[in-house]
Amino acid sequence: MMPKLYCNSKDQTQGSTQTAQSSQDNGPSMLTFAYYQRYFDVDTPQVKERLIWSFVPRPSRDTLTHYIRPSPDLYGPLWICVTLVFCVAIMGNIADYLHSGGEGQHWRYDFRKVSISASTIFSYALLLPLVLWLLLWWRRKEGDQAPLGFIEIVSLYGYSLAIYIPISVLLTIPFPFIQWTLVIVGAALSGSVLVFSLWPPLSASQRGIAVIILSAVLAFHFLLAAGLQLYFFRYSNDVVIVSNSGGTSHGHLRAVDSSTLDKVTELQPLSLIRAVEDYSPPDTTNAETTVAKTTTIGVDFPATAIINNTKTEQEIIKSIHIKNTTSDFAPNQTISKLLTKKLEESTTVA
Amino acid sequence: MDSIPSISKPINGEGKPEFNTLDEPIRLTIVRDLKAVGNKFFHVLYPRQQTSLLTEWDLWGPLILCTFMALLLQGRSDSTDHDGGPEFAEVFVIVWVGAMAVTINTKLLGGTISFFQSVCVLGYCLLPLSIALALCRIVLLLQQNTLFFVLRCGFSLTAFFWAVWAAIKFLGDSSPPRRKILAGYPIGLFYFVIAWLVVSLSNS
Repeated sequence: MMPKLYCNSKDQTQGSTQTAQSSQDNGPSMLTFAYYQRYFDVDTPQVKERLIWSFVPRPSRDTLTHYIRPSPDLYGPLWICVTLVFCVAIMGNIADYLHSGGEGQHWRYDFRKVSISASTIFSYALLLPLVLWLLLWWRRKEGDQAPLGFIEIVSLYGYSLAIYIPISVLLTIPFPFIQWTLVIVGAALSGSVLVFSLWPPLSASQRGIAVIILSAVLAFHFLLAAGLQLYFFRYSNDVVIVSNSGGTSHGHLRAVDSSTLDKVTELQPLSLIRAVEDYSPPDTTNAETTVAKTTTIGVDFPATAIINNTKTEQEIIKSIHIKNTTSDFAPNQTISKLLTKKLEESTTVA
Repeated sequence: MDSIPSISKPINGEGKPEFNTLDEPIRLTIVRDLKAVGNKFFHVLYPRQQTSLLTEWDLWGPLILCTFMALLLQGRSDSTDHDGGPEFAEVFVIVWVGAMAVTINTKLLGGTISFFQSVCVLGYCLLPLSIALALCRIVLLLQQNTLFFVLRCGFSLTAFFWAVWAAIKFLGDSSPPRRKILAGYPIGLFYFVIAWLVVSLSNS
């Protein structure tokens, strides 16, 4: 087994600190298996320890120096990121299912969600440490203390994502207040661990720039949490029917469900189309499905109605908020009832 | 002289492979391979002794199970909008890339198992999940309500625990002593994702 060395991964500049390596200056080459085995050299108690201290901020003993630095590992970051990817995608689907009223079996595995969450999380866990490492390397002009290694920063960032896993489970609770509280608390805890760990190496030289860098680190951390919450767990079930004031006697009803731009519950626009089609008189209706999830349906309005009257247009937009369910029957009845009411009103107003 | 095993005599039956199998009828070859696969399926369902899956690994079983699951899990391709179910190839990717990732993880942690042995075990332990998938498909033929959904969840969960238990039983000894949980967690994650695919199968 590899002896534990008090060195970091920047082998090119730290060659003199390696003692028991081979005569090559890099140790095992990057093409061999043994090179990567060095970064998986952790035991279960160590991983548990690092997980706990990744979201419990302790100013006196920061996580990086005391827990990660002796042997930075890639096991934690890798499997935490993979777990977070699948957790966010699965919990997003569960939240979707609960939000749709728990009806039926329209609960699907959304591959697109997995790929989106995977790209976000992996790029956060790899690109930000890269940027940070490059910043530190560039600023390392004077001969100050040993700079941070890339793997150490990746390790730190990877472990700091650990708290988002239970948070993403709890984010299925559909109250925005609770969601935002969870996001803020989680990002604050793990962000503060990041800040405490990065402060000593950064503040060695100029404090001002260190403060700027650390606040950027914290901002990105919050951004990730907020982004995950907004993208996967926020549901606006409003159907906004916008009428186009084109000045002609033909109005267009365009049903745009903003929530389906993010989710894959395509049942909604289809049932919506069918509902509006059912309502509209057959000879004046042409329904066409255009790009992905918006549908343009042309309906002949009486000329006295909405077209040039923006106030009525606003009323219609405001007043038609239809709760989307994914069952086949409710949208028809709800939408056609509401549409009947609103269009009757519009003809009398103008 | 009697105690020394004779190595010049060709050994028939199970155990050592014969090297003149080109002459035998195809039926014999197929039956022998099918028996090996069936034997391994049996050992997955009732994991007692650990040796047969590991020493004589083969990938026929995982291929059969993977194809079966991918056929049942794929979403409908006739509708223009995305049905939401995984495509046939996506299931293959999940299963094989997932098994490879778990195997590489075990080896990086210092495990003493060979690559294909581990992939073989992980593939064969998909059997409970395949059975659950077939049962879920049958349940989906009936009119759906909450009870049937809970039933499907129950099938999937049972199959998940069974698969993880079987895989840990076979692979448990090969990881270093203080890293058993570290090696076992990705196995659990792998089967959890596949169990999720099984649960999210729908009729639409």
